Amino acid sequence: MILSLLRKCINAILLLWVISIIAFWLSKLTPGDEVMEYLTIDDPRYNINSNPLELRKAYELIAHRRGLDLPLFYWSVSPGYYPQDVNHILPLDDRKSLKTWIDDSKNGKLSLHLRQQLKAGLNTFCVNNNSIHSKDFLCQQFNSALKTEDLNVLRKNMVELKGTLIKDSTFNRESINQFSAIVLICDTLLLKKSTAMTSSLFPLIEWNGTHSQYHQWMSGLLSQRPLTSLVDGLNAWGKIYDALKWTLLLNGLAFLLAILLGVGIGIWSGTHDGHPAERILNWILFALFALPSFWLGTLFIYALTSGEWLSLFPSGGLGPYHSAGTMLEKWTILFSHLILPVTCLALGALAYVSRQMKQSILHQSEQLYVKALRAQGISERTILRKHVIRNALYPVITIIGGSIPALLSGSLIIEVIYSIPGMGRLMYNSLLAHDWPVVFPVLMLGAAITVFSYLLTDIVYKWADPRVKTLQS
Amino acid sequence: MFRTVTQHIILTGVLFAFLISSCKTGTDSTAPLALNIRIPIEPESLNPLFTKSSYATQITSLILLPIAEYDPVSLKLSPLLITEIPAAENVTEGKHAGGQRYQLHFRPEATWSDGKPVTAEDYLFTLKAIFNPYVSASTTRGFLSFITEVETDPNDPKHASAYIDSSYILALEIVTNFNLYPAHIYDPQNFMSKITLAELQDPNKKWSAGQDTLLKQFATSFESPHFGREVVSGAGPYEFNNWATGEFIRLKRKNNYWGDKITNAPLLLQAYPTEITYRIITDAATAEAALKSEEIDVMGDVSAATFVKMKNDPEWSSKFQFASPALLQMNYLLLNNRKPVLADKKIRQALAYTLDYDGIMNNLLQGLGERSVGPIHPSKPYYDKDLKPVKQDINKAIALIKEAGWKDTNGNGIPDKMIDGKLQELSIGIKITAQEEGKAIANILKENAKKAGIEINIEVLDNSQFNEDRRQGNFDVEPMRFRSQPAIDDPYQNWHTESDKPGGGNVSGFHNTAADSIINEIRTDTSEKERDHDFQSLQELLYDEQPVIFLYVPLERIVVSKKFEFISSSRKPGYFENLFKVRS
Amino acid sequence: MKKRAASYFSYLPGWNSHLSGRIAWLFIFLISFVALFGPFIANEKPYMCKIEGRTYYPLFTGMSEAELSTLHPAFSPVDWRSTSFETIWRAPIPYSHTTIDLASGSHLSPVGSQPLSLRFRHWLGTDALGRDVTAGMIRGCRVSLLIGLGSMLLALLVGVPLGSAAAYWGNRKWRASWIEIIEVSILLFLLFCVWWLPVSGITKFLGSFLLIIAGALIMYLSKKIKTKKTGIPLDTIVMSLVSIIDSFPGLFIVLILLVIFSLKGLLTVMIAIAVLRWPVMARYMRAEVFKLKENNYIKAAQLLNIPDLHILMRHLIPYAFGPVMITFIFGVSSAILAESALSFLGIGLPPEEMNWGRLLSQARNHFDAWWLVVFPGCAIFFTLLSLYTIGNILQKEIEGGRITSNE
Repeated sequence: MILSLLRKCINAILLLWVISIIAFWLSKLTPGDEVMEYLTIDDPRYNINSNPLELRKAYELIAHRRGLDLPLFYWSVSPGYYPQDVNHILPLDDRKSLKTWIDDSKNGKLSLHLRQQLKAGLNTFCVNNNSIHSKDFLCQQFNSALKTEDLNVLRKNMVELKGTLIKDSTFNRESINQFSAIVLICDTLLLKKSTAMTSSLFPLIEWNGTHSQYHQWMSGLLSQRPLTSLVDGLNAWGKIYDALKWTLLLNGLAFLLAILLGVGIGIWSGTHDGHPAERILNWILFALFALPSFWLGTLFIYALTSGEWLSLFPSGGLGPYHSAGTMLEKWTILFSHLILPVTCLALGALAYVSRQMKQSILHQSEQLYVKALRAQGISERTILRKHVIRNALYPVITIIGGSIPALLSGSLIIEVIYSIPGMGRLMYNSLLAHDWPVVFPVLMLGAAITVFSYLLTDIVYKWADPRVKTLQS
Repeated sequence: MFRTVTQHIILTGVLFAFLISSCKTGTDSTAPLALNIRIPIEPESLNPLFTKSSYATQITSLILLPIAEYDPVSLKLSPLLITEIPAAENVTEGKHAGGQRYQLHFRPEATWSDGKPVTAEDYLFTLKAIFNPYVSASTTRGFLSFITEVETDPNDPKHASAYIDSSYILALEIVTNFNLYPAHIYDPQNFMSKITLAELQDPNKKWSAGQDTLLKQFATSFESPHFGREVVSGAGPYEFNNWATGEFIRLKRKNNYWGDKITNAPLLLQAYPTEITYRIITDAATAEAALKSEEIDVMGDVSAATFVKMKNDPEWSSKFQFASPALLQMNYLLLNNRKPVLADKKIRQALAYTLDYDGIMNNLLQGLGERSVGPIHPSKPYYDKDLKPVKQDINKAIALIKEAGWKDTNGNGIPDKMIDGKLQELSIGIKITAQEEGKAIANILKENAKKAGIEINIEVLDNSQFNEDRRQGNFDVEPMRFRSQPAIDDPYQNWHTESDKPGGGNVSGFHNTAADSIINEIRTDTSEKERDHDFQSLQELLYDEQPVIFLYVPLERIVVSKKFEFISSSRKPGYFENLFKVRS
Repeated sequence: MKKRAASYFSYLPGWNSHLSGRIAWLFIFLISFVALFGPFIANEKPYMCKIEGRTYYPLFTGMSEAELSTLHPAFSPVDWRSTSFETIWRAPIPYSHTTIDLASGSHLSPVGSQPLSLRFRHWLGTDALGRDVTAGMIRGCRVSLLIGLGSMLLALLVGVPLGSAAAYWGNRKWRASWIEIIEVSILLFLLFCVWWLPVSGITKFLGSFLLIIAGALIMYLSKKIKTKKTGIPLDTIVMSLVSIIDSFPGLFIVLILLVIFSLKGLLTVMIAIAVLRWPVMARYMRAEVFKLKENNYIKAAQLLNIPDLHILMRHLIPYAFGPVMITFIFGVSSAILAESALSFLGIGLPPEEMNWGRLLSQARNHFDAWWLVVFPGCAIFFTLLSLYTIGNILQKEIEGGRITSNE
């Protein structure tokens, strides 16, 4: 028993580890360069003086600060003909083009040499051009050459540049040689005759150890180190706490309402099966379920808050509860703002809960024990109250257990419509902003709760029902 | 900070004053006046230097003041923290020979929120903070790097001189149009006073270990959320009061605001509301409901249909006032001229002829906008009025395509042509984001272009990918918004061949030697007549070339409760919170 | 003849027994019919047109506008509405779902006056871009059914084999010898090396193919070597996969999938919903097979040495299918709802696509345009209602044991 429990625990932890790797891997698959996104302002006015060297420096600074200069995982695998440390090269655009050169030519060393030559060119031509009239043409050329993936295009551009510069008598001869060297390397690379083929049969596996992005964020998650959001620099756990509090309030109330009302309606319609009023009620419930929640939410806002028809409720937000004097006043404000979203959420679930309850009641009342009780002359009311309902509640309890993880994840659509800063919105915005330090804790928190709640139900079932054990063995 | 500068430099236009307030001297701060404004997106930080959000700029412009700012009515630079706009003095000798000097005299009344005076040291500190290499403001640095030296006056703390060595048309804006930070609040330990501006501006400077830690320490604290969300302080009339994440941001009027003492204060130094709350309401439908139930008093960027509907509905027009100032911005379809298909001028023209402009103007904008022939805003004096905006003409488009030699040779229903040995289909991709306006334009373009035989493929991307693809030149067409400037346009950024570089403004990859020479002439033209003439010929050229498709100039749509008197302006966001007054 | 047709229908649960069941099926048939023949019901291109003595069939030939413009000068540009033809047979709704009719105006009401002749009237109004709502509704049938059925079929394809295999073999029943495990891991490592070799893609593919054949051969030969066997924990693996999917919030999966996948459109949305839904299928299937495999006839079959796969395919999955169909039907309706939620967020379907959910979400910002609410809302409601009715009847029949006795 204890051994199997231990095994299950280890399984759960392993599962969480796999989930963390998948989450990390998915985050790295998203297109775009995170650093560039942070760096570039889409206004040409400010890029007037853009010096590639300055930008590169800023890039490295940000990449370092965010830990994005590290390789991804504990180890990195690349084809055998790759030189070492390719996965350390920044910016990502450069790395991408370098990899293309190597893939095309199968010559790692020379490709790296080409990169160095181009960087040397960048360093010579990009020094401190602080005025708009300066000829930063060469500098820009070298910068874009580093990002050119097609070697043919790169060579063509360099030959053209050399051609125009030779005509310019004022130009330094040494620099011309620099161009010739680059063109020569391009030619050799384009010949695709690599000598290093034999040594490259096995993939190059580099061990990065703890200096990897995955390790950094995983250890950041587990340790007490503060995780800061990339968007606003706030503590990620703080942001999650703020959002979670509203989500729990909103979803908890909706959940409570749905269960209470649903069970009530379920009992009533179970005992009045076939009654015209019951049919109408079920139709209404079904209609509420079949309408998309975004639409129901908007209808409420439009009809009940805007004054187009009525102006009963405040339209969205949480209200000025901050400035409330007493506790009572604060909660009154909060509740008045939460009525509509809670109703919206509860109505969607109501049909499901009441249907389950109704069927459970119907199922129970057909059981033999009910007939036996009836035969004993016990009144229908007592049978219902003392036996049927009590037994019929079990499936509903299962529903409650199953939806606890859903309580945490929030309900994006209702939160958007009613301007409630809950988990759904936090997740959505953070994901769209690629704010992984916030996304990962949310994911891992949800995963941990899900995995351990499964573990718990497993244990409870086993403890409560010995049949499960015999069935499985 | 650069956002503020952008916004303030860029925006101008025609004034739509619903009610011009009589400029009384000083303000009456006794009557409480609370204003609720909707913002759709929560800013990430209220430190203007590190935010990309234009709403943050809108909010911080009430807290932090630049030295000089464009006036909402006159659209000229008006002195805020200085007594008058400095004149450029030509320097003939010394190390700044050939450059210009601007003398700044700070207002004697001007104080920070704790009563300490605004001095030249604060000006120097702000520049130092921006030039700190560890502060991630490299683009702003690039812009302000025209300032080569700042001299403070040892005898007069309220006097400073700034030098600009090269001559640049926006020199005055560079010197005066950025937010000033109070040194004693943002740098309580006086880290930056130990390092000079010249050292910071020297690209080859090697820092000692001690200096390096100082710089790093300052940068970390300056960029921290402490100065982004808890302490936001400046010389403006308002102070930061409360920020509830996802709910609202609240500003309160300063108790003893120095601007009250100024007689004939510029509009931007006046302040009437005692409390301004920005309510974060993401969803447009919810925001409209909140507006109608008067939970919010001011809402900008109302959808065109709602705006027109509310305006025509007596129930709402009795409760609200409606303003539609023309902000200086323009919507256009960015074309990638480097792509083989769009490199063909005739195809660009044909594409421009397919669009149903009238349909867009009447339905999408509900008539709230006007057409434009080129990159110059119609309100500019040198706008070419002789040119007529392109009209839909499918026949002409078909003729142009035929003329350019496109014909369906492989029987797949799309015209094609051999270009550089490759068979190119007349198939163009348009990349858009989830924004409704872009989606509508893309759908209309697709349907309209189909009639001329051009195939359009729509691709929806998330914002970051959309921007990334534009930077990489990996697109055919993207719907874009272009913000113009109040000063003379400098077409160099967007249309000169030299600006077609990574990070450059010529994203469309438009290369034209004739245009280049006209642009160079515009930049050196001395007389207004010559300049206007050159602008006209540039517009004619761009009109003919259609390097991008100019769609329309939209009008901003602002709805304000009738409880208030306000001034609407062509400067963004179209209204000024500090100038709202209770309707008497 | 008639009798036979009736007997076909009688296979449908609820067709004979319940009136509501029959109505539900008829509604589903109607939607499916509209979905199948939608392009012939609503299309801007006419079936047939005659001009200057020549007859064209634009709708059937599927010619693009560019091709048409080369055929006849009247087709350049193509304007079906205003060009005068000698004869023209148009589709009942002379608009496609993409047709933009801005000239008549946006948000035309179905009951108000429209600047159009009766033949071209927008019977259910237009949306913000002047697109015909009727055409959009017709397109919506196809898109909604495709998404509902497609995503659930995908989920079924993944969930049913995995769930039943997990339940049937469990953690111990499927045994492999240690030598096989070692062989497989060596093979995997070699495949990994081949993947990184500096050769072209085709060579890599060929190499891996040869490797796999060689591996299979070796495994076949080494079968004779007797070693200790160990059970492969199939159930644990499948259930771990299920809980991995369950652990991620649905929103995360959908966003990641819709952002990463380069091909955007119906298929991606279908895949995204299927990824979210297959664990439910797998769980149901697992539970059903778990119950069924305790039956004596299965035990007898096992004793008779009938291959496991055969038992699973022939004797377990068909009987477990009934309950899974219920999940399938409910799943279809929840997929239709899920897609409408994606429409609200503005992700998923390409922007030129039209759908019930998209019409509904357009209505949010124009509440006066009731026609954007009522018609698609009713379509969603009645489709879901039909599916639910059928699902409920099916459930009752299974509980009554009618389906199992059908075989």
